[in-house]
Amino acid sequence: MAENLVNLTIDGVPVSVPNGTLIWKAAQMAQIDIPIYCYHPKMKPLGACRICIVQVEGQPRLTTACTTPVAEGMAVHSRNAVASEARAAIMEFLLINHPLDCPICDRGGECDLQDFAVAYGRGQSRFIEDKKHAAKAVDIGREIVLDRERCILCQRCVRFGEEYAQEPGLIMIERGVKMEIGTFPDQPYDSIFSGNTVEMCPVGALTSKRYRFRARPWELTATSTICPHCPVGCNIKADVRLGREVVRFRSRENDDVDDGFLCDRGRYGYTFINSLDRLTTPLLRKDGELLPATWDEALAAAAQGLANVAHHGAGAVQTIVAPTLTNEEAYLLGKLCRTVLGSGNITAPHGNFALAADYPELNSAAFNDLDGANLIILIGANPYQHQPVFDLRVKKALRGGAKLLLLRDETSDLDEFAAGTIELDVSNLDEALQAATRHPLAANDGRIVVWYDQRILFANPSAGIAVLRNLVGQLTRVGQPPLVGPLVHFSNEVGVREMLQATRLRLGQGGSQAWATRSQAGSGTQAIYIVGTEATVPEDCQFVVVQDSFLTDTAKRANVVLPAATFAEAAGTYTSTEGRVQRLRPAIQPLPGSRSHLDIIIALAATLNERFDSASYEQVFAEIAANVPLYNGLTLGKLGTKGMRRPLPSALPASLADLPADAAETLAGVARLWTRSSPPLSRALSSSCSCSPALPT
Amino acid sequence: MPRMFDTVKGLGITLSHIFRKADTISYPEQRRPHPPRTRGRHVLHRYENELERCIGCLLCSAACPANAIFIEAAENDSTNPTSPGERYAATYEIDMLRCIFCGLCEQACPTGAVTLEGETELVSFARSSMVYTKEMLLEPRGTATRGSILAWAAPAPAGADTDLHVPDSRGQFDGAWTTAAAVGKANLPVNPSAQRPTGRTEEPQP
Amino acid sequence: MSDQAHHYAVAREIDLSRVREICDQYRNISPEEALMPVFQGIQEEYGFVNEAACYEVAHQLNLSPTQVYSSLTFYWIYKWRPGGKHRLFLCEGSGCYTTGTTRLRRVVEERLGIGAGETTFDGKITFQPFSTCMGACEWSPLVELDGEFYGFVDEARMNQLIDELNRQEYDAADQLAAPGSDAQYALVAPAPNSGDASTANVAQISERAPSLTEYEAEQTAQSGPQPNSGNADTR
Repeated sequence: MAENLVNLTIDGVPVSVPNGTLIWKAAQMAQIDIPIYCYHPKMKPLGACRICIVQVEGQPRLTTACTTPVAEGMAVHSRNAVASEARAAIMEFLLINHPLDCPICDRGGECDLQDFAVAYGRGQSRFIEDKKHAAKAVDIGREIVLDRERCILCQRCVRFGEEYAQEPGLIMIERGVKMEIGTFPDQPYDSIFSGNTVEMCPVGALTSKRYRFRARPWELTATSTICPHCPVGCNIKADVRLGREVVRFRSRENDDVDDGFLCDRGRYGYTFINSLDRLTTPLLRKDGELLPATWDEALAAAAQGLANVAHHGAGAVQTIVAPTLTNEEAYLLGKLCRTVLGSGNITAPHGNFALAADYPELNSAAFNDLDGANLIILIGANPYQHQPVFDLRVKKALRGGAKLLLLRDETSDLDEFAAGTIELDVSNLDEALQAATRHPLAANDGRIVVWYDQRILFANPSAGIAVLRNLVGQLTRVGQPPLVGPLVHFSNEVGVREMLQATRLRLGQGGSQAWATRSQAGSGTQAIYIVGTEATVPEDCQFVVVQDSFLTDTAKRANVVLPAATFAEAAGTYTSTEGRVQRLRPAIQPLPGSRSHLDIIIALAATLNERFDSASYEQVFAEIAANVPLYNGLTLGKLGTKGMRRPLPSALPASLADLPADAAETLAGVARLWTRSSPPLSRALSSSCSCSPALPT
Repeated sequence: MPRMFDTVKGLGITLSHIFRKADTISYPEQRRPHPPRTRGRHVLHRYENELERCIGCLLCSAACPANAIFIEAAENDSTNPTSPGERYAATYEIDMLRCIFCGLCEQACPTGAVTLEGETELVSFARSSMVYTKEMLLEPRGTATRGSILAWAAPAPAGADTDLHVPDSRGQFDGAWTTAAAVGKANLPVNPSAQRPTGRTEEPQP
Repeated sequence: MSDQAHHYAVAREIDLSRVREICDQYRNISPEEALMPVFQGIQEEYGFVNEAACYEVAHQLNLSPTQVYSSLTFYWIYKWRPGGKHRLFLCEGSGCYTTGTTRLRRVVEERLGIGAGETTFDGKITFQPFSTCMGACEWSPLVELDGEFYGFVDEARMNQLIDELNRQEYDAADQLAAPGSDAQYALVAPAPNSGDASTANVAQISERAPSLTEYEAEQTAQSGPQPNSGNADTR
């Protein structure tokens, strides 16, 4: 390692960096700021803007720090008279045609051009001729507006589409003074990653339609939280204007998860938080009509209604949990059902996968493992639609030399990147997986990473799991088993399932309260408690409690509606599809009149005369860490801002037979409830409450 | 007995003031004119073509030390604009109870849209009515005053070419000229050749 | 006009099967390499490359249409819309610009009544100033008319070139129409100072506009070995 280090000085500061590092990166390591526009750390250097110009001793001309690799003994000057003069001149050139409409520009206040003009510019332009005028506010896509006057032609957005997302995106049109950003005529830039170009634009040339003119950066307070729209768990900053309104999401770079990019579904999936249709008061059905009520009335009615049927049997009260609830909410809900309502009839209405507690070998892969992989096998997955940022990670790994083997039963957006494809029949998994093990791509040694979409297990969970485990055995190369991970469809599907599993195993099927187990008579669902999701309610169901942010079709059918806060107002933890536990922080206070799911569950339990020991999410998380084996030892402090993967159990259970008796049955039962996968992207963007999946009949 | 004389001297001063002309006036029947730089109630100005000067940039609310100004910006309807440029203030509210009348908003404004004027009698029976909305602050259509900004502005040196720093010859505020000196350009005729800035040109001026 | 000058066919549509044939000629090289020759082929044949052709090329070469479009617009020589029969290019690169292209542009705009990138109403002449250097700065300012270069062009010479075009198109129209109806068929406005010195000059210089080599030789003969000095005199 030591011989690969190169020693150089930057502004007199000695630096030792690995061979091949760019001067800009070396300066970053030495905590010396060199301005950049065209360079982006995640993409290849270009050297178009020249603002990073530095002087290297012994070289006749100034050079760009973003394209020049370091060399032994190099002496770089980034702020001596020569470099400063050149940089000021370049800044003057960049500002020649810039309209300087900072007061009306969305970027004003957080603009690199403003910042560097102050830091490195001359302060006054000598240019007194007419500026070049170009089109302003050009509508170039579903989410983006382009202002050609402000553009400094750094080509970051162009290279993002070409190099990083590897899909047709923005392009440079014309050349010379007429050069501009654009698209093919009459072809909008509709990529699900288009929002990233807005974020990486160093000036205000690309602006987001939804954020346009909504706020100035200095009014915003950022909260570090997690995107709730897919199980990748991208890290976001939620920007809140004046403490009231969520106005945008930005990427909070976490190289282990999202590599600093977001998809548009996540980036623009905040509008429903500010919706005027949000419920702000509990509703109670009186004489067939839903009427506003106080919280006390509503909670009392809900508790009474649930308690009335709870003694009809263990399955009398069905609880349906949204896969977007936090771990804490799901845990408390499981606890409420099993200890207070005395019902094990609790479902998360979505797909199926092998839980990490039972099958650690089928949950071993992390997103980072993609980067070092030789072969990536995707089974039935189309991450572009369901886990978009994972799609970017796969493409990045492919650029790094990995090969992609695609097992697919429908066209996938990764088709053109695949080195090999195998037709997949979900009802006959074994055949396709056998074909995969025999595929020439799988013949080489090297790390193999397998990600399977949860939907391949819908048809026959236990058989599917057996086939997957068989695949693990067959793909083991040189004693190294392949890393396998599930691709689920909802943000906290993994966590909710793990919490429900834990409460089932630990607290048992029956309740501890005498009144809950009093009667064994009756079976079938007589009351449903639906939390944060939509579900189809049977006609003969006597009593329905819905806890949601909107008056959904399900809520309209309910006897009691409890207005809940959204993810932006909730605190808790999410477990992503790779098993990373990350913290969700409240960006704003709950809308007046609504309460967080956690508070409602605690209050409902209190109304049912059960005081939970834990009254806050911190306490609930401590309880989870103590009671759920997978989460043993985790603390909120350890999770920090970037989260951590929950440790996998080292001892592998032998087979499905080792599971508690009801586990396999429940898996199958859950699968029956499932008929379709997560909503397609278009629906997710258009529907304000899209994160609630529908429960099919 | 010097002490006795002191008393007489004091009474003498009192007596002399009794016969002086009174400084007080019987307000509100009588009023004194305010000096031109009085910082009283705000006024939002218009251009002569009735467009609002305010572009909703929120710089005044950023400068406000009392957090008295609340603005929500929106995009102009290009066929029927409210202000020149792309952006205008859809909501503009000043809470006169919070305002400390320091005038920083006036200094921060890039277009001279908001000025503090001479009206100082701001009273109300309700707190809520002390939040002045945009409609209350805007000067009526048809008037286009500059307000106290002229009283505050330092005169340009004699012979200074005030057009020299205008990079845009269209004469319209498109953000090209964002100092306070830029105010008053949006109502000039759009005539590139007429408004060409002095300086280097293609051919020598005749 | 020289006899070799290429007059573009005024086509309005591009035959996509012909585009496919052109693409087929370059199957043996990589798509990126094939792009330029394919564009050149289409341009030679039709005088322009439009959306449909762009799509077809992208489809045939398995490239993305946006990428193809980006490359296409990078080169000013490729036209996006059908142009006129005659192509008048004016170099506005830095070298030419400093020697007075602005004045030439004004002459063209006044006499032809069209701006940059526009075509006369009858589709006869397209005027295209471009800011990318042609690499002939020593002859600046440079004008290209129908594939032929004209160097050291001043206002008088620009007028002369337009007169030449005018005469050519006018005569052609004259042959078709009844003689005497000249004003009706005149393609371009007469030179502003026609009838006096400048037209006399034109008549003196040549019956037809000299091409670059002839003109250069003439200039050298007139004003010695410095080619620029003669140009400077006229300014």
